[in-house]
Amino acid sequence: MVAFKYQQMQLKTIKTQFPIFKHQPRLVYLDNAATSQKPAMVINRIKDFYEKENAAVHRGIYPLSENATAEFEAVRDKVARFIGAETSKEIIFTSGTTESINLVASGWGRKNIGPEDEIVVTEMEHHANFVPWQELNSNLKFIPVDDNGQLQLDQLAKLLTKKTKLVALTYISNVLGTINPVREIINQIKRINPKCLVLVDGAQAVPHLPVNVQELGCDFLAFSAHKMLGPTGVGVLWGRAEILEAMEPVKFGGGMISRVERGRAIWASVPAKFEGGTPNIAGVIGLGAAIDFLNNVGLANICQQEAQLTAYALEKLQAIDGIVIYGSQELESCGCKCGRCQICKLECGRELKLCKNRLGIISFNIKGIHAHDVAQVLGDAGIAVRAGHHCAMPLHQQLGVPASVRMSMYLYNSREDVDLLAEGIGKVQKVLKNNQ
Amino acid sequence: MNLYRQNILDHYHHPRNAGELKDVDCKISLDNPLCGDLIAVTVKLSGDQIKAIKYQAIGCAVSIAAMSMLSEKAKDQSVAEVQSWGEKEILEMLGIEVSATRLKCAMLGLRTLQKCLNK
Repeated sequence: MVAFKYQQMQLKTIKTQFPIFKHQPRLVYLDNAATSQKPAMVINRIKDFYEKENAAVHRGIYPLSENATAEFEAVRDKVARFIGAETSKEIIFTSGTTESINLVASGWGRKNIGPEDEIVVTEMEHHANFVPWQELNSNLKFIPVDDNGQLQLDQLAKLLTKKTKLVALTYISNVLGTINPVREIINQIKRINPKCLVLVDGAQAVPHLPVNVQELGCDFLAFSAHKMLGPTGVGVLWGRAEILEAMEPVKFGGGMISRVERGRAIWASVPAKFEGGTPNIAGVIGLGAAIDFLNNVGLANICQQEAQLTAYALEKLQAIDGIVIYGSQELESCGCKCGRCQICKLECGRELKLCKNRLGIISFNIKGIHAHDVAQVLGDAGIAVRAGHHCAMPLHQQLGVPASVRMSMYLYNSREDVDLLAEGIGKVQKVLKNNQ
Repeated sequence: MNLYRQNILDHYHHPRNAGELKDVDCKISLDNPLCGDLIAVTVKLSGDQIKAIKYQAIGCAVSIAAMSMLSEKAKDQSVAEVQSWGEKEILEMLGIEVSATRLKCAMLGLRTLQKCLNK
C-alpha cells in the first residue's frame, strides 16, 4: 500500500518542494523529457557547497579540499548504488548523456570499430545516440519501429551479424514514451553475438523507473542529472570495469594522468582517466542531493504514479477531436494484482489501468495546425510543452511528420495538469481553426 | 495571444497571392528542416521591379502569415530594395513581438524571396 499512500499524501507536498511552482504558480510544466524542475533540496545543496564548502577536489591537502573530495566521491558511490553498479570505479562523471555517448564513441569505438564493422541502432533514437555512431562508422543498421511505436524485434536476428560490434538503443523513447524490453533485447543480442556490446541510453528511463545495470545486462549506460531533478551540465557514463580499463581517454589534461614526462604521459586509472580537467564539482554534489530526493520518494512509487497519470493523459487526449497520437495507444489493466510489476516492482494490491509499454511521454499533432502554433498558444496559457522533432528526425521521417507536440510528465504532475492541457488544446483549436 | 492577432490569423487562413506563376523570371523553394516549413516562391520582374509574386507555403501560422504579408509589401518594389530588408522590416510588417525561437519562422519567407531574386 506504499504507492497508494504516496499518491494520496505526497503529491501535494512534493510539488511544494519545488520553488519554481511558488514563483510560477500558474505553471503547468509538461516538458520534463527536456529537463526536470529542481527541488529546494538540490538548489540549497549547491548553494551551500559554494557558500561553505567550495574547494577543488583531488588536489588540496587542506581540510576544505579533503571534504570537497569526500563529498564528490560519495556521490560516485551513491550513483553506483542507484543503478546497481558493482563498483563506483565504473561511474564516470560527464557533462550529460550526449557527452557520455560521445565518450564511448571516441574512447571505445575508434579503437574497436573498424570500417568493415557494423553498428545497430533503432529508428527511435535521439540524435545523441545516433549521430556519434554515424560519425564513427557508415555501416549503421536500424531496428525498425512499427505503427504502434514498438521496436520490430523479429528483425533483430537478421540485423545482427558477426560484424556487429555495438548495439546502441534507448530504454524509453523521448518521443513515443515507448518502454523497450531492454533486458530481453540484450539477452537476444548476447545469444546471437556474445562479443557485441550494448549501450543503453537511459536519459528518459533512469529518472522514472528503477534501473539496475546488472539486471539489464548492458555494457554501457548513459544518463543526465538535469532530467532527474539535478543540475544541468552533469551526466553519467556507467561502463563495465574491464571495458573502461581498456578504453582510451579522450580529454587530455590535468587530473587524468598519473605521471607526465617531457616525452610521454601515463594515464591515471579508471575513472579519473576519463575526467580530465576540474570537474563540475557543485553539479555532481547537486546530483547527489537529487538522488537522495528520488530515493526518499522511491523510484518504484514515482514510476507507478507516473504510469497511472500517463494512462489518464492518454485517455484524455484520445477523446480530443482531430488529434493524432503517436506510439502505443493501448490501455491495459495491470491484471496481476500489482501495478506494472515488471517495471516498478511495486505491490499495490489494486488493479490499475496503465498504458501498454509507455511511460511519461505522449507526442501528438492536432490536424490542420502546425505543432509550433499548438505549443505557442499552450505556452501563452501557461502550459509548457515541446514542439519540434525532439532531436529525433529519423523517427519523425518514419512518422511522416516534420514535427510533433510532446507532453512529458514527472512526479510533481497531477491530473489537474492533464485536464488543463486538454482544455488548452481546445483553446488552440478555437484560435487557429479556420471558421471564417 | 500577441502572436495570433487577428490580422496574422487572417493572413494565415487566407494567404494573399498564394499559388504559382507561369513563365517566371525566378523560382525557388526553401525549407526549414527543423520545423518542416516549406515555401516555394515564383517572381515576375519588369526591369528591376517586382511585378508579381506567388508562393506555395506549408508551415505554421507565423511563417505563412509573414509570407502572405511580404507578398503584398514587396510588390512593385525594386529588387535592391527587397534585398536590403532584414529582421527589422519583417517585424515592423508583422507588428507583433516574435520570440527568438519563432523568428526563423517569420524570416523564412523573406529568406526564400531574397534567394529567389538572387538567381
